[in-house]
Parts: sequence; C-alpha cells; structure tokens
Amino acid sequence: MMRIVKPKNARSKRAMDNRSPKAIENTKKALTVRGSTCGILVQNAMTDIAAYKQPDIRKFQKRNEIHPFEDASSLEFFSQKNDASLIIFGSNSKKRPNTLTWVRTFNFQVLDMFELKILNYKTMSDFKKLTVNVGMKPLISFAGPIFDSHPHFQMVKSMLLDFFRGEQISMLDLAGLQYIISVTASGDGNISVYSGDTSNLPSINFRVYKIKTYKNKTQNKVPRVELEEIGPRFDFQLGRVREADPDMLKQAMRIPKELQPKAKKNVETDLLGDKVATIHVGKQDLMKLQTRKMKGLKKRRKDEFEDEGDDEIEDVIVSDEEQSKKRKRQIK
Amino acid sequence: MSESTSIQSIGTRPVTVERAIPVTYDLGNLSVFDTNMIDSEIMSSTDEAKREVYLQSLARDSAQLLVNQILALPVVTGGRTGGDVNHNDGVFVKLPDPITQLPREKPIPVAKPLTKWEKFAKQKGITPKGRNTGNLVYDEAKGDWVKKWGYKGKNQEEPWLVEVDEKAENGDGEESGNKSKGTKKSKK
Repeated sequence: MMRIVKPKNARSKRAMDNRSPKAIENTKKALTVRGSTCGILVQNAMTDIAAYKQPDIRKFQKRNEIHPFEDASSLEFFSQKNDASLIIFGSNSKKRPNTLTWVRTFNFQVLDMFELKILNYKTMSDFKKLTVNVGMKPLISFAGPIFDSHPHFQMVKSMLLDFFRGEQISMLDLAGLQYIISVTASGDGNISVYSGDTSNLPSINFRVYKIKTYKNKTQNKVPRVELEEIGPRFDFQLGRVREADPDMLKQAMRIPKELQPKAKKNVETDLLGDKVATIHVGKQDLMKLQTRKMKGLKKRRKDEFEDEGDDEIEDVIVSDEEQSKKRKRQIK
Repeated sequence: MSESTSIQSIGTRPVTVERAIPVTYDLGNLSVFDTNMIDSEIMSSTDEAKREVYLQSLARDSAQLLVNQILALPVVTGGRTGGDVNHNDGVFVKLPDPITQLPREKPIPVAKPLTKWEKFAKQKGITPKGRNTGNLVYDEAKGDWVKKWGYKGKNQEEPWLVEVDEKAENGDGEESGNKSKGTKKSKK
C-alpha cells in the first residue's frame, strides 16, 4: 500500500482526481509485462496485441521475476503505479511455453486471471501491410456456443471484450468501422466433457480482419462486407485459470446509483400488452363538499349559538374553575 | 480489368446472413455473440487453409450482421451534437449503451462525510454566499439587465415629487416637469 499523498499544485491535483474512483470510469489502461524468461515470440505477440490497445497501453521493457499464480503482488503494485487495470504478462518456460497471462484488477487487486498458451502465431508483419488508425474501436465477434456455457470461456470473453473495446462512446463515425476482431472456439461447452483439466478444452482462435465495404446493387443502403486478414493470428490454448473472488466480483459489478435506470412509477403493461397508467388524485374532503343550500343547514353565528346553549357553557366554566383551583393546590 | 469485374461481382452478393440461432448484439461495445455450432470437423482438420477460409467466412458473416445493425441506428449528420464529436464532417450514428456488464476498475465513489460546519449549515439552511454572482439583475419592467444599485440601478426610485424652479418657468414659459437634468446643465 502506497502512502496517501496530498497534491501540492493544481496540475497534480487534476491528475489525482482523474485517477480517483468515478461513477463513469475512464477507459481501462493496460500494461504489458515481461517475465524473467520471455522469448522473442512472446515479445512480438505482446507488441502486436498492444497495437490494438493504443493509446491506452504501456509496454514494459525490463524483465521481472514474477509468477502471477504464485504471487501477484508485484503486478498489483504495477497496476497501482500506472493506474492500469489490465495486464498482459508474457513468459516462456519449459513447463509452460510461450504463455500470455491475462490479468484484470479491481481496486488494484487481482480480480481474475488466466493463461493463454500460444500454439500458433503469425505476426502482423507477416501479413500484407494494412494498418488501421490508432484508437479506432474494433468490431468484436465471439463465435461458438462455448463462450456462453463454459465459465472459463465466459471469463475469456469478458476479458477480451474489456481489453479491446476501447473508449466508450455515444456517437460513432461510420468511417471508424475499420476492423473486426474475431474470436472463435469450437466445442459445445459441455462442462462434464472437459472436467477439471484445461488442456482438453478447445483452442481459441483469435483473428483480426480489415473491413472492406462494397456497394450493393439491389439494396443501396446496406453495403456488402468483405474481409482481409491483417493479423496477428493466434491460436490459444487455455492454461491455468484463477476465477474472481465472488465478493470482489460483486463489488466490481455494482452499478452506481446515478447510472441505474430509474423505475417508472405508475406505468404498467398489462397481459394484453397495453400500457396502463395509475393516476393518483388527492383525497377528497367530504366536509367541504358543496351540497344543496338550505336555510336549516346554514352555519349559525356565535351569538345565536350562545343564546341556545347557556347551560352547557356554564358547566364548562365551572369545571374550568375547579381545574385552576387544583392547579393552585399543586403549586402550593 | 479483372479487379473491376470482381468488385462488380461482389456487388451482387447478398447482404443478408442467415443463422439458425439468432445472434445477440451489444451495439454499445460494437460486438456480436454468435452461439451457433462451430463445425468441429473443419476446425480439427489438418488442412490449415481450409480452416482459415472457414474462420474468415464466420467472421465475415458476423461483421455483415453487425454492420447491418449499426447502419439501422439513428443517424446524426454534421454539427456539434455531442461531447464526443470533435469535428463537423462525417456521418455519425447514435450508439446505445453497452449491455454486457463488465467489472469496474475501481469501487464506486463514496461521498465524503460532511464536516461539522457543513452539517450545521445544512441544518440551518445556510448556503455559501455566491462569490461570482454579479452586480446585474433582471428587471422585468424594463425587460433588460440592470445594476442592483448605483447609476441606473434597480434600487433607484423615480422622484415622486420634483420642485418647480419658478424663475426658470416664468422666464422660458415652459411646462413644469422633471427638469433636474436641464437645471444641472444650466448651472454650468
């Protein structure tokens, strides 16, 4: 835990405010970290992935003696220092060759992580040079029923979507639709088939294509889409997985009050699909209701009232006097 | 020549995609989730080229579906319409909010506890004196912004009684009235 620093000038205060928790969060920043042994293949892989996360990624150049599944405290430290909540840790060992560990943090603590072993890799430079503009939002496609049914694959989906989706925007320039990231996995996600061991899980195919649109002859408004691969091309095998702590995940999944959709009061939809409204009218005071005017029901004046009910009033006066006497006695 | 003919043939290809299970979209994240079965025979085959063609066709279909959906969104053309739009040219579509819930990066911010004074001020209804409230107030009668006080200020009342300078009236034979400005000038 780092000590809490008070900002000394306005610039650092702005920077600190930008890092503090917000209802609507900043775009998640990412880090690529090299392990103690990290071959050129893994380094290239991280560079290629980073190309699609620009400008929200930072690449570390030094080697680090870190084993995320044994002790992730160094990664948590990097996360806090750099205000980055997504980390790709690359390593290469005899037991786990060419592995990328994808780590996600919440409040600078590891939320969940998994290993992706690189089985097959073709770098971006191997493809015909077709670059996309920096900071463009990709289209993202997940194909395969396993991404819906298998918990580990759900996690992979969530992580990759979180990583590549980039800035959250409300307006999209149609010229910005430039490339698609396609993630495919075969298999039906029947968990009993893949019990426990992740080595027999189907491989994850990661592809990136440039989108080209052609005018359609019959339907002018909608173009025909064609793709051209721009790389990188990965075939991943899922390795070790650490699922999110349920309590932590619950905290991370909370939606701030100001972003929660407001419940619409008094408007309902009935069984037939008709909109039904309840209108609340103030309670009617029946005493003030104007009925037929008659002389007998008229409000009488005070003097008229006194003429009729003298006896009662005297009684009241007597009782008043008694009460005052009692009070005097109590005081004495 | 061959390039142009291929483009023409592309133009005649269909723009619709059929899927056994309808795909789900998350247009806020520009993503599509296709839960249809993947052909495991092709995926496990040793023929890599065949596999790549299959994967590309899957991706193309997804891209087509997504593009079709995005083009159906309400279009905003030109002008500064939102905070995200930095330039005027281009065609913009209004994206809905993301549906897929992803974990937050940091916890939800909690409001700082009120200080003793703030608590007291809130209870008493004491609001800080506006530091930047200007000197101008809106005058409904004039329909214009006037100063709160001072020259032509709002708190200045029209003099309800004005002394008549008899000498001036007799000499010039003018009507009586508010001549304060005139008299000032004549003094000079």
